[in-house]
Amino acid sequence: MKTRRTRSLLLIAAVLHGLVYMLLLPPWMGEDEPWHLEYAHHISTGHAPWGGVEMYGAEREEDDDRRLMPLSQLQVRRRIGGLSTGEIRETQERIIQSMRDEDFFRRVDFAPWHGGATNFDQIQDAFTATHQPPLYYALAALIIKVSGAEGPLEELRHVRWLGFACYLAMIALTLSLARLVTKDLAVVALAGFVCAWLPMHARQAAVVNNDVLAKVVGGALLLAGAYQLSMKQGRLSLASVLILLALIVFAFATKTTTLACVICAGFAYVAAPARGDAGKTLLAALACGGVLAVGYGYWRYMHSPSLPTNWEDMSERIGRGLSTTNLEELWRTSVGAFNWYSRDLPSGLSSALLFMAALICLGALWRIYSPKRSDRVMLLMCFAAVLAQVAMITVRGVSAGRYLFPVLPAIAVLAAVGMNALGPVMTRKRVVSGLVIGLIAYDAVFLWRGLLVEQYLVWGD
Amino acid sequence: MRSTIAWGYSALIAALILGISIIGLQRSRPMIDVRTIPLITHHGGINPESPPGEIFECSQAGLRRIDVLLTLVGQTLRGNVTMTLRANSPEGVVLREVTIKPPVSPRAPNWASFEFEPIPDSAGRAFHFSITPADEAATKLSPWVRYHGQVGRNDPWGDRFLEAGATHKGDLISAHADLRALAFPVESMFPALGRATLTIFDDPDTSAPIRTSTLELPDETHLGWAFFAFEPIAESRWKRYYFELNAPEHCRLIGTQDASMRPIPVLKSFHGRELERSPLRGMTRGSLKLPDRDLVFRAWCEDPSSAVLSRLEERTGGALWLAALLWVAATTICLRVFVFSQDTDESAADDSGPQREEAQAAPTLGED
Repeated sequence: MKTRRTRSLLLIAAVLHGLVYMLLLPPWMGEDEPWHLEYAHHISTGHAPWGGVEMYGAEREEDDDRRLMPLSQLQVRRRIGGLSTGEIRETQERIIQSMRDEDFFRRVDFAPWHGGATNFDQIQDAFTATHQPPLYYALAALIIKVSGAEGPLEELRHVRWLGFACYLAMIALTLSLARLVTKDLAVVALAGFVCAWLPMHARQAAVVNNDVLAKVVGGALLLAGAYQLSMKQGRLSLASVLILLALIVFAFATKTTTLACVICAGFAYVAAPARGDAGKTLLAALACGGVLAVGYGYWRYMHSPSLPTNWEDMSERIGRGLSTTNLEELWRTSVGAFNWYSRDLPSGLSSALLFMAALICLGALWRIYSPKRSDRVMLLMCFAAVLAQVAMITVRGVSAGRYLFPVLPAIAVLAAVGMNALGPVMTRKRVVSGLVIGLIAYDAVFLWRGLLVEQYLVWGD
Repeated sequence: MRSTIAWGYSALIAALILGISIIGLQRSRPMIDVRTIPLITHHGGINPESPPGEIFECSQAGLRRIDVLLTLVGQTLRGNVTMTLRANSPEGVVLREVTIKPPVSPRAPNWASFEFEPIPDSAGRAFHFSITPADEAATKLSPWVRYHGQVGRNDPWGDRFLEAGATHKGDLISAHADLRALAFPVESMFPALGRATLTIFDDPDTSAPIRTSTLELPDETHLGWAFFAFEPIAESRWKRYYFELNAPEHCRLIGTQDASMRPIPVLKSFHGRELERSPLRGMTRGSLKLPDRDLVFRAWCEDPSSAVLSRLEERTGGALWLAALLWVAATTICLRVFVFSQDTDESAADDSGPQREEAQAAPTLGED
């Protein structure tokens, strides 16, 4: 296999594949896009994500800030400094009008009646994106500013290219991680293909959502950790520590879903005191711990609803997270859910995918036990990263498939290794070919029988 | 030459996969699909004197089926229900009449499907349908109603009867602007036996209401939600309103109790305005037109594949064919790389791969 040619072909295929989703995902059909675009819009108009006005509820309704403006607008005012009431209101009105023009309300089954709706509280009560860290929105605002986009629809279309770039970056990160895990270049390419062709991930090439950046930062953290594990002892350089710290800062400035990757990468950096460089290891550990504490405090300051407020809340979240409903939701939204998760893939296909995923997982576990041409430690790290991410989603108590994507490079590598471990050696290439065709067929059904039908044919009234 | 053949095979299979995946795409989809998730307000048992119905515009030819979502409001009995389809309005010419025994389930609502001989020239015409119980058992079936408004206060169905013939008082904070209706669960409310009136005040100490709503004949309800609609209150967001509901002697509201064990009414509030464009012209009860709400129903037409394709082209803004082309190209490349590759396993191996040595020493994927 000519690796450069293979890589180039795979990247060309990924670009084309991402473009298909860019063409077919209608405006506002990425989950929570109105709120994310609202945030980016305000940053693009020169407002900073700090310096806002605190909001107050009260026992007496005449003291409650909700008498001033809807809760969704109060939350914007709390986060973003210098915004006038009129600007906040007008932005929401324009976005809702664009959603109306683009048939959002006919596509999303649980969308409320939109006649006369002028603020986001009338779409989804008590919801906002402004508690999210600002890095993604700063990049999105830069795109809006540079492109000169005007109006919510144009802004949305331009910012979606950031999702497209992140999709390609994820494939590059997966190829790099796979290269550290195995010396079998066919498996490396297969990992890149799995990352590019998982339909719900490919769909993210066309979505405005900070999850698209979170997955890139998460993937980069895993790669940094894997790189350290692949090194000889005693080679922890100051530069690599600084890179890790920078990635951790990016993670905290992007989304809480990167936390598992932060922990995995930090662990990879400091888990080998036998490197013989105790001083630098200690320094890295202290720096990681310090950054972790600062980052956690920052998320708290941002009023992130992802963080439990106390032990009781945490135990309730874990109970909810471990419920079968929640785990089903995680699977459902990982393999195929459309129109803001209001419609699903056929249940038969979902069950078949679960069966195949279980088989591939067994294959990956077999490779961890018998790591032919792969690195067991690296495979274990990938496995630990996936488990840690699932644990974090459980602690959060709310599931969505996209929260798994920060560890998608690890998932793709494990899947590729697992696919390559199925069946006897003689038939392995045929098995892999069959699984590749299977993944392509799954993508075809997802796209042409799922997304196309649900977004363009089944409209409500 | 072998390479060209491999590319050819790859392209052929990619096109085949696309073709197979869109077989059956022309399967019919509802032309109209009234949605309300979650379902929150049911109409109540069907009265043969004032059957619930709906007026709608049909945009396609070959109207052939109407589904109505029904739920049980009484004991589990399977009765027959008749759907009557008319031209234009409740007074229009009867075009089709279908009687079926709809499926019932005590736990969940079910779609009752009324299929009939297709109406070939239905495109661009208005129709009215109504559902009538064909026997006593069917009067315990209730369709669902979608009121035109965002839901503000959303109390569940109550757990006790409130005193009949009394004036029930309460208050609410309006969640949104344009407060336009309140709905109350009732066991029975028949305007013919005495009308129920809702009055709304913005001050508890005043006697001058800002809105009044009276249920009209034959707007009767049996074990369902009774809607009191009024001119929207534009600046209602986050303001407190007080209401009085004068129910006649025969009428029993269903409510609950507050913290001090006092019986109180439960209600749902609706906010917002009418839409500018809609194929739905509103619900009917007998001859009474109620344009501020719809029955939850679906209408189906014959849907030839050419019509589906043209609809897809129109709705995707012409991006459909380009997307299909790009998808085939992308898939062809992947098939060529992973399935129709002539490489052997041995050539794919890179023996200088990860050895838990310096990563820099290992060749990168970019190196041939």
